[in-house]
Amino acid sequence: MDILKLDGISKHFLGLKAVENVSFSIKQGEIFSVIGPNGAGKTTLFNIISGHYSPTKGRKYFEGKDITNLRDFEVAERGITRTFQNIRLFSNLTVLENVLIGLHIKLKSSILDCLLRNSKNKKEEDECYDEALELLDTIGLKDKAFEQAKNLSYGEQRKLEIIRALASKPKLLLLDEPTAGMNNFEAKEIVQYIKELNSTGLTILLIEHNMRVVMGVSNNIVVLNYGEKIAHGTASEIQNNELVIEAYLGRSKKND
Amino acid sequence: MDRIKNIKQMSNKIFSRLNNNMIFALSLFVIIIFPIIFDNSYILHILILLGVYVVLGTSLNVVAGVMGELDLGHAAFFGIGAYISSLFVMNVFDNFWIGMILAGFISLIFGLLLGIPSLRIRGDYLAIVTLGFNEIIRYVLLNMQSVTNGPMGIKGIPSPTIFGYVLNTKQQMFYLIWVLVIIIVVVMNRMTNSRFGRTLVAIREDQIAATSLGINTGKYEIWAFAITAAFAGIAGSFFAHYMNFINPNNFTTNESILILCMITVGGRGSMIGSFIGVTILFLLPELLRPIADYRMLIYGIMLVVMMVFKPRGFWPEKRIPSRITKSAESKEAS
Ligand SMILES: Nc1ncnc2c1ncn2[C@@H]1O[C@H](COP(=O)(O)OP(=O)(O)O)[C@@H](O)[C@H]1O
Ligand SMILES: [Mg+2]
Repeated sequence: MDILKLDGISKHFLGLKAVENVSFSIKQGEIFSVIGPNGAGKTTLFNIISGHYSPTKGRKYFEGKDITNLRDFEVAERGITRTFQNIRLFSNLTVLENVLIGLHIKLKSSILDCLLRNSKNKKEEDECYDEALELLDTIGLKDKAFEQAKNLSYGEQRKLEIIRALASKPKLLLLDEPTAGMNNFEAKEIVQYIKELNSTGLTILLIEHNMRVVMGVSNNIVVLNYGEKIAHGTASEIQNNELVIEAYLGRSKKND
Repeated sequence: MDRIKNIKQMSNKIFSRLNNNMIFALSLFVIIIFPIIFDNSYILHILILLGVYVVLGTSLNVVAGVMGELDLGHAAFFGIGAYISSLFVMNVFDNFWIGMILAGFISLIFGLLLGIPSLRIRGDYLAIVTLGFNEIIRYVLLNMQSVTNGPMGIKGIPSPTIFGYVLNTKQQMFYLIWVLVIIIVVVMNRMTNSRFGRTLVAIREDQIAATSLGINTGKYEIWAFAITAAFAGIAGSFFAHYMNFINPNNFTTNESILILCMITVGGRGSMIGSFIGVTILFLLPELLRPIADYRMLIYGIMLVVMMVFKPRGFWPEKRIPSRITKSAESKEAS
């Protein structure tokens, strides 16, 4: 079963074709990766899937339903949450509060319930604190629950951002370069964690810059270059694809 | 684990429900006995107005502190509440309580309206919109002479009544406003320490991250504006029926800016901070009355010094959640 389907998605910024006519489908339960050189349009594609941008052209379907016109918070309510390439934690808030905010859509108290703190709201508040602490426990951050998020190490911040996105139990998790800026050890840890999450049945869409990371974990890979899809296949298919090699070598000539 | 325990114990000491109840009981006690001990009409008058400003300050704090929107129009709602309540009681139906509820309700509607631009604009731009809103309200009050009596204001606004019994002593008014203060502060405290309050802080910290987690930021922003506007409207209603006289000059942008100064000095984002800030900046000019000539000078210097040495206010916002559940504690202990 396809969980997400993109059909001819384009996004133009004043004539700049950041994403051009990209189509693919992601199967329930897989790790699907989007790779490509810097500026290829990966993050833009994420922003379209998450509803942050609306596409210039094309349609997107989640669990068979058209979600092209949904706004970003509605997409999250349907079960797609994300992390950001440049970590976007609520950095002045505590680690615990970050997760509590991640639980937002699971909580049902209305504004009036909150003002009155009726028994329904009270019970829910108690439960969500417990739940947030349990979630933090799963990534070993329970000890730091009351620290400000900005005081965590870089690796911990990444993990916190992931658990915050997971708090609402999404069906599809979008990870934008989760290993960016990490040393090898930290990167391996994150990759291991991604595999564990996937083994619980979670579908993951991964953006990566780092080829090695992607090849190890992905069931399917799409390669973007200058906004266009230039290849689609399994890790070994991608590794031997001439267009892909060219795109990456071309990039290394230009700027790396 | 030891560390987490320590932090928890610390935060428990400051915030636990028992202590909250104690603070509540203590303030209630002080409020009850104060007017009996200090039955001085000048002191009571100052403290009644202080109560009004506490409502204004703590409610503005939800928008300007917790949600972080620079709102320079809070006094407009104060004015709307004052005029609606006075006009209603004097012309339509002579019941203070209905007037007060109506004042809150109409202010709520105006708050919803002012909240709408906040969907599209933020920061300095929204500050200008709120400032403009305050000015518009003031001009309407000045120019709709047939209804508001223009710059002359409204005289002879009746004092509040309870079951036909007129509250007109300072003591009675003191009790009325401070009971209102307690109710409003408790409601706002619940509001900020809840799912709703967390969305407001999330909006302040990072709106894009907040929406990515499924928060309909616009909805909560508008309601934050509306609910706090309603509280300001209620304060306005009380003010009108206490002073028995209002005019548009009571509700200028200067007033809005003063309230913002108060909560900034106290600590934006923090309910206690706002309370402290309002108290200091409201009482200071009164305390400085004996040296009247230098009053504003000292006031200004105080503000500057304060902002240099304590830029986040006297009682900055603390990000230790105030609710730590019993079950989490017992798990901790085991
Ligand atoms: N909001 C925007 N406005 C204008 N151009 C943008 C915007 N976002 C991205 N771009 C451009 O789109 C292209 C793709 O960017 P991006 O999706 O961030 O690439 P990647 O994530 O693959 O490195 C880049 O040329 C970038 O400058
Ligand atoms: Mg990117």
